[in-house]
Amino acid sequence: MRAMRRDALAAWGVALLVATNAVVLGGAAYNRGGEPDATLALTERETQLPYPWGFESENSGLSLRLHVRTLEALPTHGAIRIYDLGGYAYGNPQWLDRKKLTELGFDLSTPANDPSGMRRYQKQLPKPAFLVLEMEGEAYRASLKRVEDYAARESTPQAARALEDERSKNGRLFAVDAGLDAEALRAKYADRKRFAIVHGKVWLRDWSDGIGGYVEAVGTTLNVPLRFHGAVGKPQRYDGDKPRKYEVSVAFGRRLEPWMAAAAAR
Amino acid sequence: MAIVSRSEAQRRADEIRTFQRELQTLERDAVVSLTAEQREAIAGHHRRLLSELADAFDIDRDGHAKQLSLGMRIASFLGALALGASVFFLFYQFWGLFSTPVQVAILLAGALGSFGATVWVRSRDGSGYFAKLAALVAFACFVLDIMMLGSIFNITPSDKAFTVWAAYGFLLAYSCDLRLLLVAAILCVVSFVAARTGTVCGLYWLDFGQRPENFFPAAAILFAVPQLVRHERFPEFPAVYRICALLTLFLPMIVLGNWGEISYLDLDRKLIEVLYQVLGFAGTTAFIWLGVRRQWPHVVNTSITLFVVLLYTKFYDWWWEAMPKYLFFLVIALTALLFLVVLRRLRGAAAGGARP
Repeated sequence: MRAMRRDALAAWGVALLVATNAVVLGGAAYNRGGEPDATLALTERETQLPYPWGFESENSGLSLRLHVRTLEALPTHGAIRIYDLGGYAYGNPQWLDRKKLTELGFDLSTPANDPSGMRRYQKQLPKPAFLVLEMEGEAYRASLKRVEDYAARESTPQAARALEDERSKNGRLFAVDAGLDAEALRAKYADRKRFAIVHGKVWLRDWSDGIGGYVEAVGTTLNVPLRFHGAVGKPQRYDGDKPRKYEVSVAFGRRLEPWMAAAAAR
Repeated sequence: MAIVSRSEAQRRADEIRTFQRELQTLERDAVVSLTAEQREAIAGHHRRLLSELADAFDIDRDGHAKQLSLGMRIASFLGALALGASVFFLFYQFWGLFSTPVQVAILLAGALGSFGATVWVRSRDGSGYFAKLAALVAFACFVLDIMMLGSIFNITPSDKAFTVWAAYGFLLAYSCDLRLLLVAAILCVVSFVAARTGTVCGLYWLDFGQRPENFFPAAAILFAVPQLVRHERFPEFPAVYRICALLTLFLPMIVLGNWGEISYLDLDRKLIEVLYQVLGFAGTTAFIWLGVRRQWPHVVNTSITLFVVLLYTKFYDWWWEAMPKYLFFLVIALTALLFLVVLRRLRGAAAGGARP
């Protein structure tokens, strides 16, 4: 291989830099061009500011992470406990059953109750899929109903606090479905003000109640442009700091990549 | 003059110095005797050649200069790392204060400006140290550029970024004769090939590291590169490719030899571990043999190191708890002695094979 001359080096280098930046910026422009695929109105309940620790304390930029919940499958035996009602991001969604997992490409053909079958299940790593996110819809109402029923049944301070949190503090953005065809999902979930489709991945997991899984939305950390910094505020430095209340309009483009279209303090 | 790289010029200068020392020894031992004219003709030719090489490439003319050069290389390397980190944190500290168009303009200007500075410094810096420093900063700026654009526009992470980083790394490594950037470019290639292998096997690409077998195709590609592409202007680069290939092949094997459950193979965990241990030992032994046969000392040394790591990992698993510590370390010492004996025999066999 020959050493490169100055002119050739300059030409190749500039071409590579300009072409790469053009492709990246062109892709971003394409994503944001035309009508968004979906636009959701979110608040501080559905978005999280980063905690300013370590290097993050020197970061002058601001980003919000979408806080996606799932309506978990309740335990099939024993009493329902308060932590079964949280709907945490990595819980076992009740809609992610064997049929759905098979549709998403997982091989569940062998029985899980023998060592080789179980090994095959454990070896299956996460698969890419499109996730459907629903804002303040049936999934949130079902979650609220669960907590209301629990609070009515238990009548403890913890149950009352859980109900208050579910009504006014917990996020209302739920992952409600997954699939391999974004257009088919959009046809099924047509309301673009309520349902957004995002890139994600699906994990197979052997829960105590049987084979299930969990989902993770990918690329849902939103950069906050400078013009919205005032509305969103700064990350909480201490747990005692009062979080700022805000509303953000999040648009999802043609490549399903989100961006912050508007923001206002509440 | 056909010499175009500093490493080639340095090698030529070293050969001249070795020749001069050997000629002195031969004359002292009365093996040859040159006339004054012959001696002067050779010395004059060498002086002229060394002077031309020094003017063109700022080579080390003697051992003292060479020692100082090593210090300069270390300073250049540390300086480049620190400067790269400084660029990153400078942007991190202030980027939130700018609007999106200004952020994009700064990133693009940083990438193009640092590249322009590299081209300019390269044409004026005979020693190459400052050009190497500038090249490393240029690479850091480009990585930062693409990462931050992804962050600003919330672009879904893609393994394709590795291809452009690799291309830029190779461009700078080959133009500035810079092994560190070659390693960076190779790491990008390894990541891309492993991610694509994982995708073909049904994984989400970011999880490619969870199945170490994903790295094997990249190892094969890296090992093939110096066989397929001639590097006469970059004599140190083939060794970098082969060392990276060996690490890419055997480090995953060491991992799989200890944690068989993360393999693709649908076999019992213990069986997988034994399989990769055997493959690891057999493979490193084969590469030691190949390295000796092809006279690739870097392959021999890397393979021996990996073999020893494999062996000592297993020794630890088998005997650390079971044996008294004095006995454990005695076994390690005896193994080291056994290695010495085997390698001495190999060296003897290689010397015998090289004899006409």
